[in-house]
Amino acid sequence: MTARNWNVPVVVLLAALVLPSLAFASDALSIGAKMPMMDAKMKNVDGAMVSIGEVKGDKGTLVIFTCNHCPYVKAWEERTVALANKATKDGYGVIAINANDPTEYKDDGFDHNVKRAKNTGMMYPYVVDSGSKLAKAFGATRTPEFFLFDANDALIYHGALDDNAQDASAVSATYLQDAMTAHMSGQPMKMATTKSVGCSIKFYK
Amino acid sequence: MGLQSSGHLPRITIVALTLQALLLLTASAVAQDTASAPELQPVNADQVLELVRGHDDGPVLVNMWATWCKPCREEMPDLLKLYQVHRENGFKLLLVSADFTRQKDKAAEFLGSLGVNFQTYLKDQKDNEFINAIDPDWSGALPFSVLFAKDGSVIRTWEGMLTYEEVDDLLTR
Repeated sequence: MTARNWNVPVVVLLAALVLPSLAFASDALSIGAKMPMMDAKMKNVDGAMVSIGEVKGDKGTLVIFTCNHCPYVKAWEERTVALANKATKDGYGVIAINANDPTEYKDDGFDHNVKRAKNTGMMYPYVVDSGSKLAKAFGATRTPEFFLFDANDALIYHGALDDNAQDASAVSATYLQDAMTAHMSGQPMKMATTKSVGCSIKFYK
Repeated sequence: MGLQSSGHLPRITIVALTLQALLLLTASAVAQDTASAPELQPVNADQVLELVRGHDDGPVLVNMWATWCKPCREEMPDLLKLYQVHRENGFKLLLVSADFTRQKDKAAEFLGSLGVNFQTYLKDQKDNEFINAIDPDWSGALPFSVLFAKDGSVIRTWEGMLTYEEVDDLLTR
């Protein structure tokens, strides 16, 4: 059969066979899902072993999948650190996780994590997800990617920081900030899931 | 030894013409090495899907990529090989870069270095709207590809790298 001869029944059959196995986004945690692997210890930039459960705050927990090499991470970096630092003061525990295999990108090695945490002024742990176990458990696929949990460890927001990576002055929707504001004031969340382009997580093989 | 004529042209003219020819050849070679692909055209998701629907000659592979994305760069030769092999059967390759606007010349240079001489595109829409309109199951990670059948229905999607063999197999069944 040539490309010219595709017909609808064949296409429908192929789609039915193939598409179910390709629903990557559906593997991500759903809103309301319980935070996985809260007790898994990961190496922080200060050398200490830290789990998400240990950083959890009174209001909830913000988990950020990030890395050091990605242009989208860099474009959002200043805004990310500013909001995450503010979140720690607002009562959220915050943890940044690098799940990339550093053999794929040298810049994602531990020493680079240490430099980045210091240079950007992170007031929260920046840990290594060796084996990408946490990323897989969360269904994270890209960097940066944000997961916000409430005080009961239920997911209340998943997605992007805001709607414009390349131009902070042109942001029209501050998704994560809006989610936190709604959560803290007990208001319904306008957008509990959003998406952004990002660098695919370089999972450990 | 003085200047002598060689046939109808003086020797100095022949030397000058030869030098000029060499210069032109060199300039041409340099231009080939640094040639850019056509300027990337800004598109939103509706326009991408309209381009797919408007192509009646055969299947369309839409590929979202960026210059900063290593796996995107690595799979590009396979995409271009697919285009070379199957374009006579009506196959269309629709490349959409997710580079920032300020990087679009760099994207054109990269494509040009691989010999791309057809129109390619630059995402010009907010991520959330663009991603969900292209495919609600796409998380946003790059590369991302969708193979559309001639009738516009989706044959398969790839989040992550595809291989030449996977697409070639679907196109030659």
